[in-house]
Amino acid sequence: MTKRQIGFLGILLSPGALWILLFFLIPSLLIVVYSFLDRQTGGGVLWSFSTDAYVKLFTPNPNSPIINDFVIIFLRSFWWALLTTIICLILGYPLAFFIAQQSTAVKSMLIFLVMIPFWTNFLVRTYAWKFILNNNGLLNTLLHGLGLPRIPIINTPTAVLIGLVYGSLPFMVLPLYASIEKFDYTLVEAAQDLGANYFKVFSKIFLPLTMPGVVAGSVLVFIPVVGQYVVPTILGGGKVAMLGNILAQQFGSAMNWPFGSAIAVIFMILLMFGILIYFYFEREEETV
Amino acid sequence: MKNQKFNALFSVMALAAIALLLAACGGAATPAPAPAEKEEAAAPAPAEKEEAAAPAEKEEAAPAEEAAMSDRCGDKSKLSSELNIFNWADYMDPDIMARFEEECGVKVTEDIYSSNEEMMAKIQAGNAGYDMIVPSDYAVQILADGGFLAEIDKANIPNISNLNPDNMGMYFDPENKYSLPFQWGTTGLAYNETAFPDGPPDSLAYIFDPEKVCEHSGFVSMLDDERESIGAAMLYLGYDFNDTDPDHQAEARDVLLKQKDCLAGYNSDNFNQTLASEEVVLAHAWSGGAALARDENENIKYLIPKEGGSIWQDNMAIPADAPHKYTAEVFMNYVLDPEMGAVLTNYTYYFTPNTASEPLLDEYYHNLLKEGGMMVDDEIYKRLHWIKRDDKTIIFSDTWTAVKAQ
Repeated sequence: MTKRQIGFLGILLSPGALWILLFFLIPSLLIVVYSFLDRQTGGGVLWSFSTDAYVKLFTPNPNSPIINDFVIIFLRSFWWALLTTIICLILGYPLAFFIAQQSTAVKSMLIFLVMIPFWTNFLVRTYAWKFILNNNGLLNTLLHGLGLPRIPIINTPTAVLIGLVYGSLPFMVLPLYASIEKFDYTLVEAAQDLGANYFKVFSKIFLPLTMPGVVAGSVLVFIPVVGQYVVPTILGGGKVAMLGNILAQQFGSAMNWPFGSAIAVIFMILLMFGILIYFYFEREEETV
Repeated sequence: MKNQKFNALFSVMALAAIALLLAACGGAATPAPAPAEKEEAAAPAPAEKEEAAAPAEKEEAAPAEEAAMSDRCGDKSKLSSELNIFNWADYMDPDIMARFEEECGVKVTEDIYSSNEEMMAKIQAGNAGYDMIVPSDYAVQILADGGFLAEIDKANIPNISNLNPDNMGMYFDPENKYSLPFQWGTTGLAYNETAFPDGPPDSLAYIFDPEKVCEHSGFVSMLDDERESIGAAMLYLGYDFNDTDPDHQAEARDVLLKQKDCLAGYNSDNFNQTLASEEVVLAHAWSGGAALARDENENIKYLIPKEGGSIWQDNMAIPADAPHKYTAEVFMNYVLDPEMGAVLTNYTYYFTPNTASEPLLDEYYHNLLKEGGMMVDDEIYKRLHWIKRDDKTIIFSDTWTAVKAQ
């Protein structure tokens, strides 16, 4: 590259770099700094170094079944995010495959349908689920009308999971579709010619070659779900907290900004670990 | 292989970016959930309410109108052309702002917040540009202690004389140097009469005794508020509403965990709607929200349980860095005018601290609150507790986390 080209590239990249600096790096750094300060009673921080927030996060509580209540909420958030990802994958993979098999016009139409929910605010769509799942809601009215017993589903973890899967599914389907759509079907014929059965074709050819879509979709589903706030509040009746709820509590009513920041820092570190592991395996794969 | 992966990721990122952008655009227009009582106060008033109000207002206000009109704007030469207030959602009748603009020539702009903490974060950051805010009791104390409030020049607010002495000189501002009462209310139990044929649920046992609460399993809600819900558990256990003793907090947590299986959930955003639509039959509730529910469903009633309830007061205050302090004081005086005070409370369904406004409150308001059981008399007043905050009360947050974790 000539010097001029490098300079030109610099100009092109600078808005993006500035954006990342201003709206990602500086705020993230601020969170890290805040997590090591003292709490001010009325919200905000006192500018004196303190590790109180981290001590509080890791101090075992004898009344709590696992280490302490914060750890329970961390574990639950990751567990629910994992469940959501798996369910989305199971539902999304066949759907993406089906869409990819259609003619061009039908394909565009179906992808368009997958994206339509984004036209409405997520909060509104979550409230819509509340109306469906309520004790007197659409589902129970229907069941009752058919002479079946009502099922109390609203304000339970099941309702939360339904809401999470519903909200995340497009983020799984779209990358899967992008991967599957590019798949070269002559490879399937080649494999069958060489005597592979359906299962082998899928596991040895189809799945590995669409793996990038699986991974991209899983990352896009998993990360936002871990920090969910709206769904557990509205569909879970606020009974069981996820990470988003506890963060809102610490910055809101608890007015403990350092502690909220410490939770966010640990959360970021855990996610970063996850992504590093992903890159590590990716590299392994490429060297093989 | 690598290329394909890159393409897949890239196309997804592009789609996701568009999706997020769309979601964000929608999000900006949707206000964050506010406490229900405040959020829903704008529910259209039935026509009869308007009719009942009109004659009463005219009769009482007419003779004094001429004199009142001239003072209501203070010294007009000192007024700014605009005034920015920062308030709870639907907590200020737009009519009051429109009339202030018409009479005094000051354009009032209102921004909305949904919690004291949200408001305090903006005020504490400085240069928020607001001339008047409406902090609740404990928030006044926090802001005043931090030097974020301006001292009010009472000479500019002659209508202070209209205020009920009971609402003045509170613990959070003993001399009312920084704040003047705006509206107040209570926290108690709202219930659907038809679900309690054997008599009203007049005790906290109806929400905390597992046997009693499970009779209405899935149809009982608690406020999603660490101070109110843990405070209620404290009262049920016979402790102080603001008790920070770790053992008592642990007991309160157990009480809350035992009730939890039979709860519909924790809801302070729209319990008035769930009560009105009979999705819950018993709710730990704010008085204004209960009144709104009753406005839609006349089976809804409200009471302060025998173990006690809580009381709170929202107040008008001026940030230390307010750009238009004098105009804010004139506006406060305007709100404290007897007529405007009545307009305000007819709109919010709370209680007015303005004694001079009381006779001007319309009949619909009186009937709704009296028949609904929201009115506070001396006997009830004795059972009401103020939420206090100090360095120790952070334990309420940890207890609340423990309740939500399991």
